[in-house]
Amino acid sequence: MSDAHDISLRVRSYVAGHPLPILEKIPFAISSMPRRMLVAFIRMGGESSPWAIGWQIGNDQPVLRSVPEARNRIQVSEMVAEFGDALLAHFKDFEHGQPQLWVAGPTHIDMLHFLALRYARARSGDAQLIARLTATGRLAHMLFEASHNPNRSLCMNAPALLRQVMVFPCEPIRQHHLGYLIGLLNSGTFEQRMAAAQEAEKLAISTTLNPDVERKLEPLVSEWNENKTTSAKDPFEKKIHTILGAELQTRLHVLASGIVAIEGLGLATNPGSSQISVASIEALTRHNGYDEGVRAGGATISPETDHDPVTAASNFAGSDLDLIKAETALTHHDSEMRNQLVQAGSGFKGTIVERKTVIQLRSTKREQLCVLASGSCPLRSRKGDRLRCALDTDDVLRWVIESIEPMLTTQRKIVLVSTKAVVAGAPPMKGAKDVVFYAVDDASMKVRAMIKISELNSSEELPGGWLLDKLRAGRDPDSVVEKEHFKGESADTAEKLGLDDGSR
Amino acid sequence: MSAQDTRRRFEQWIKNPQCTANAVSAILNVPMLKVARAEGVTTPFGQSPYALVRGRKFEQSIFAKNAAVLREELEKNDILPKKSAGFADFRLSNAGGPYKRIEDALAATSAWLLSLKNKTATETIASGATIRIPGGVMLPKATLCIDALAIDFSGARIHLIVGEIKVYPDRGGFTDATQIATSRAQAGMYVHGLRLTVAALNLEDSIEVSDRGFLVLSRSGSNHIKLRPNEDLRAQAQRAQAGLAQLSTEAQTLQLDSSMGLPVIQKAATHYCESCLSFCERAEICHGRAKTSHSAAVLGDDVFRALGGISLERMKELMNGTAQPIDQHEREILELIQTGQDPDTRQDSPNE
Repeated sequence: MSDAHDISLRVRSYVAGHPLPILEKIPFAISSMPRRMLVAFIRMGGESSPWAIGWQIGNDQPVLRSVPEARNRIQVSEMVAEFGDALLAHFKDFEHGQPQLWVAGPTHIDMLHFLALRYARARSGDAQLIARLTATGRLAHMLFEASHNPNRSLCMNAPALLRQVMVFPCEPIRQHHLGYLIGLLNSGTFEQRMAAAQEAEKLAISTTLNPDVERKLEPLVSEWNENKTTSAKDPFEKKIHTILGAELQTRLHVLASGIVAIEGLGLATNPGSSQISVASIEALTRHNGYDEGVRAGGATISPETDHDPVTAASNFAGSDLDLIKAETALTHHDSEMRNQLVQAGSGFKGTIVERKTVIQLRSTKREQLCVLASGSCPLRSRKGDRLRCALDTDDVLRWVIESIEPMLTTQRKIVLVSTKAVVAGAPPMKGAKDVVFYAVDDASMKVRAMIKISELNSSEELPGGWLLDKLRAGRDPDSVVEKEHFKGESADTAEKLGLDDGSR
Repeated sequence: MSAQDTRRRFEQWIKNPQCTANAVSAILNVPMLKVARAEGVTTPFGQSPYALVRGRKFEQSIFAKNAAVLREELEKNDILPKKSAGFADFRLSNAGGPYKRIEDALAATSAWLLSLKNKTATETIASGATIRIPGGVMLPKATLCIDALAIDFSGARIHLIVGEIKVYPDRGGFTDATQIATSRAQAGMYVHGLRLTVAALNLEDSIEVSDRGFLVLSRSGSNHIKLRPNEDLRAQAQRAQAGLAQLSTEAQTLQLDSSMGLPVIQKAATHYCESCLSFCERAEICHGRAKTSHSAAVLGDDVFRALGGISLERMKELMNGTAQPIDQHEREILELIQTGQDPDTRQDSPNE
């Protein structure tokens, strides 16, 4: 979406006095209730590990877990392992529908990355616990990456999804707060909606707590630390859990309301989202295979880096391909998405002024269209480009631009020829108005790029490959990169830091 | 905010230099929280107590045992040569250092810089180096405490390399961009301040402040450090130089003196923008005012800029047809809002 388009939508939404839909259909599928797992994290200020985790599957009672001291690594890892068991079980089963993880904002997504960084390659500790933690780390990594991939509907960031479908009459920075968005979606006048949003905004729903809540917890945590016996610690642990549990409940409640709000928008689901669900299940299957491989002694994908240019190039091409696939799957079924492409210059809208059958290469029948299109939008398409037509029911036919001719008026005359024979009477017919022809990048080119990358024998063949060639060839154990790679769990470094809490 | 923590006041001002109240608050060193409380704001503000403790402990651990942990990383990243030695500690006692008063740290830092020239000091790492920006560009004082300094003696001139310590985890490309930008801005401020100090002490012939600095971050879920070397701080140092000069001019233009307080800030003009939400405790009051005056700022900075002074009320009238555009500017803005396209990028003649 261009800046001008975005600005225009926000002003129009303000003038309307309420949020406006920017898409015709919801571009993602929401799984059935039992296949949804709602998750909320809380972390202590300055820490990146969770202090408390709450989760709820379907209509089950939420599970609320917390530790009295977020800096105690053992307690935290046991809590994470318990959460990980539930997460792994949820994503293991995809025969009863596609599993989804729902979170109430970007900081909760970040926590998945923190879990991946912390645990995916953990090595020291009880073997059974480590196995549970590393599996959790690997899945958290996959879900973190899925949250950025438009061709996956596995990890759903509720406010981001709402922003994808609706435009809200407020500053972009406030739109990360799910409660604020829900408030604006309420019924009532603009002022009433705004008041509800501002009230909701007061509730912290990110992974950090309001400082006043932390200040309330501070003496309890100190008491818990100072007391040495379990019986003396217990009352403080309970009090801490009560406060953190209530905070988790708030986040889960807002998140559940967010899903209800999305479902209540009254928009149909884009049929193309089923292709994204299929791609998501394929990704899960691949992950499970990878997971089994790691359990059998295989290498773990680093949540930090691609390490070498071949992997980086492959991952880049893969994510590009996913973007194209998602666009392709969704655009054909959504007129607003197509309009956005036209406005961005990736297509045009016009009237079919002529349609005739032409013969190419002696006997090949093709359909030729002459379209009178508006010239008010920029157009990046050129002669020879292959476009899709919104009226093509199965989205198989492509139209090749034969010529683009400027008219004296602010219009363009564009001649297109079909890539296949078209059944007589199949749209678009002569006289049809506002027919959209649009370009979506060709996925096959990306697939070819990925094949090319996989055929490369040496990282030297890629730009920048020389940088890591020496490392790949020699695996110098003293090299900085190697040390960085395997450094994560070094016990002596922790000792040098003097911060080891003795929990390892 | 400490009276002597100039860096924070500068960063506060630069987040919204268009707001006079913000400039006055920074210059007079009256925290906005105080103003907000006086105006009845009850929303909880402040830093997490745990984050403060964690930050302090993290820093202490980095400098423990003559900065062994930091030294290892600096040597690994070729910022210091192997087997480097010597640690100069100028931190205050509340941060685990030897000095009780900031004036003592200031004097010790100046003496140390001079002894670097005389080759009587050979420390390769310094923490808490305290400097005062000469010239008194801001009221009442301009004091900076530099987290870490690496000193490279290998060249013809001694190189001082500025380091900034942050407790948040390094997540590669996913590290919070705003946090990284803030850290670089802070380091750039130190580079600028250090250059002024070196010049004021006539040490330019023997000491050079490097354009390159380093960031010290943590690793996710652990207390291990992650060093980001070779941070280019040129632009950030220039920004600090230009910003401080502008703030100094502003201080003179506003004709403020340190006896003025809360009422001046309350009376000063405000300018609400999105960044206010991230640092100013009065943001909601200003947001309320912007809403009442139908300012486009309530829809974001980009909308405010695009509408170029046209209020949302006027926009409503134009869009509903109850008023007609009075000039070319209004016509263009109306067209932009109705079509969703910037008139400058629209093409009246088709291209081929």
